Amino acid sequence: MTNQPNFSRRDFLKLSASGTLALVLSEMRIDHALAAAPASHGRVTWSGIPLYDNPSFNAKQIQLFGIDQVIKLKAEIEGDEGYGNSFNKVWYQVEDGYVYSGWIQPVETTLNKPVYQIPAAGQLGEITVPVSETKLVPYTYAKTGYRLYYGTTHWVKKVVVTRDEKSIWYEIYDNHLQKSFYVPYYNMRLIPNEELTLLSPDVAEADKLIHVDLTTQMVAAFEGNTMVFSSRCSSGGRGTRTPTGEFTTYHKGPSIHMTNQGDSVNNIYDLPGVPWCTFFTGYGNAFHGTYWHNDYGRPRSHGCVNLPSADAKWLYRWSRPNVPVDADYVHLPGEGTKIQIV
Amino acid sequence: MKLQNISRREFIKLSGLGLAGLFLPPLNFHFDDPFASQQGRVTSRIAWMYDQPSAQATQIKICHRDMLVNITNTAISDDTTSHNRVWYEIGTDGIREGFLYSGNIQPVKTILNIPPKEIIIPEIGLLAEISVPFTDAHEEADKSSEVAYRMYYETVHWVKDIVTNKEGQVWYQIYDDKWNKFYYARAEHIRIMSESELAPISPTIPNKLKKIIVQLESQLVTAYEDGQQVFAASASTGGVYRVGTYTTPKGNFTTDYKRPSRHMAAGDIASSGFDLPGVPWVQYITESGISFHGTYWHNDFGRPRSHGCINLTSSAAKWLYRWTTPAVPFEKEFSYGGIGTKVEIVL
Repeated sequence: MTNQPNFSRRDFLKLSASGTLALVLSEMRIDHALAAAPASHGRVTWSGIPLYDNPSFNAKQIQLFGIDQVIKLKAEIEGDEGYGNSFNKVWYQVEDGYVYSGWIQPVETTLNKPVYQIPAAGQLGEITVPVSETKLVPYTYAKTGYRLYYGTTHWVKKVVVTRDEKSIWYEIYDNHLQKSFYVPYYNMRLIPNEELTLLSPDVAEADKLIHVDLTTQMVAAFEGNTMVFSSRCSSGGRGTRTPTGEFTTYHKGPSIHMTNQGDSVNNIYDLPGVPWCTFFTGYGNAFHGTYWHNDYGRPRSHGCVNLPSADAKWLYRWSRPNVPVDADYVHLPGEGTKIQIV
Repeated sequence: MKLQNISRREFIKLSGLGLAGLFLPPLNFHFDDPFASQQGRVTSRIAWMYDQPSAQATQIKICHRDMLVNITNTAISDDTTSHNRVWYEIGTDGIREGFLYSGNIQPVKTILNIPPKEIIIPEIGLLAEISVPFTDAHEEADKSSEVAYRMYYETVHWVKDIVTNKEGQVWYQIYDDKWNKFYYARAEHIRIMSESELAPISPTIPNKLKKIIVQLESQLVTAYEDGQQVFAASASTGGVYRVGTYTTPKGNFTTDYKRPSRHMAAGDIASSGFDLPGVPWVQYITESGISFHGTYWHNDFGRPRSHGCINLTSSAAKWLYRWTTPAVPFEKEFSYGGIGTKVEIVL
């Protein structure tokens, strides 16, 4: 990762053990891994998110936002820490007030040109608008299917150009539902092969390590003794804690429809297109991108390690095995990059 | 008022029951393929048919304006620099004839309507669209009378009267809003529209939360409700012509003048002028006449080529017409004033 300060594995483990890791990382300004420019817009991920007149939960509520509203973000400022999340004090300044960042997915709107040649095995695509509707048949006025969110990935099987309206659609296949949906071409970017190659290929397997500290909700990656990546995560919440111990990243998929339907009657989740999944257990625990919250620092997942999608993509590319561009999943028990979860 | 319209398939069924005599003979169709009746009409003076979807391929035959073809599929050209790489595969009964560049072909259907026995026509008239590739509008309700205009698929007109001529054919009287004249066209070729199909879309969304963005470089029109994309369509905005520069202006506008149909004409049709009756779903954004509207004279969206207007397919223009404010009351010729929907035109 770029711009990582010199911070050795030994320092990391030492601070982690002494309980001062979070403080030091925060002072060094590396608790947010990617020094990406702040997003221009945010999508409200939950219904009833309040807009306050100050960056504080005790301030006056001006209005409530509905789910999937897209709001312009003016600045990031420090305010009250979030509920159960002492690591995130970021509030977004928006038109007329302030909103806590944990509920707002940072998004952009980029419209794409159509691509007509899709390899026979399919190709990975990524949503580049805050929300894209899908259609059950390739027709502008057809019934809508799942809503797809910014940064989600999907397996594109083919391109459809209709005769009557000349509208152009990507047919995406949902492995879980065994069903196809149609996405308008301008909302999806087909991911070039260069973006799926293995990162740091010259570093030996034995020298790569992913370290997860559940107390501070930090994920760090090391090459030998050097930290090359760090990011705040959301691990498993109460009742669905992320297991501790040693694991390897032995199965991976660039896009997974994650759901507990059939296993559970309460707390059903149904998340199509979860991007950049790096699994490390047989029960579905994985590092992956996240579009349904921005609340990193609070353990709140169903066992997975939620990461911002850009960070999940980096980890997916850096860890082994590398998933070939024409595969939507690889499963190689016994292989993979080492993980330590403490 | 009781109106009926029938698809070609129903028409075939009816013909079996002895109702056929009135109608044109059916063209090719397949019961099991809902797209089998997808036809195309040549919109340019001439269009070459090629053996491959490429202008570098071998020319097979020449097609003239208003020739009808059967579109069996879409194909993509190898020319990656083109704004529109879509070609149509043309054929009959599974036999491929060749390929035509889609920009010069209007996708059309042939849907024949049963003229009503009794009809009550309000003073304003009944809003109607042409449901066949084209029909000729005559000076009298008689096919031997002079043809005033040829009216094309999905153009919209006001029906003012219904007449049965001496041959027993039912014709509608149509009003021309440009020349203030009346023409006559065959009732079977015209579908009377219902109020429900023009019902406003998202009327509960406050107008200040609706916005249209026109991107000139990508020639894409997108509609947003509270920041969320709800619609997008490829467009053709103002292009640059040899006789002068016509561009769509950048800036902020509103759609405060709307009408379901407009006979648009300007200049000298021998050079770069135009004379287009029945342009559907017009939403003006400037006093000078720049508008969103449906398009039947080309299918070349993605490239700037209009006289300043924002050309859309008729179905896309109709959707926007129903979505933007102010809503035009069903029995009104236009709506002027009131609060229009925001339009932002950007590079």
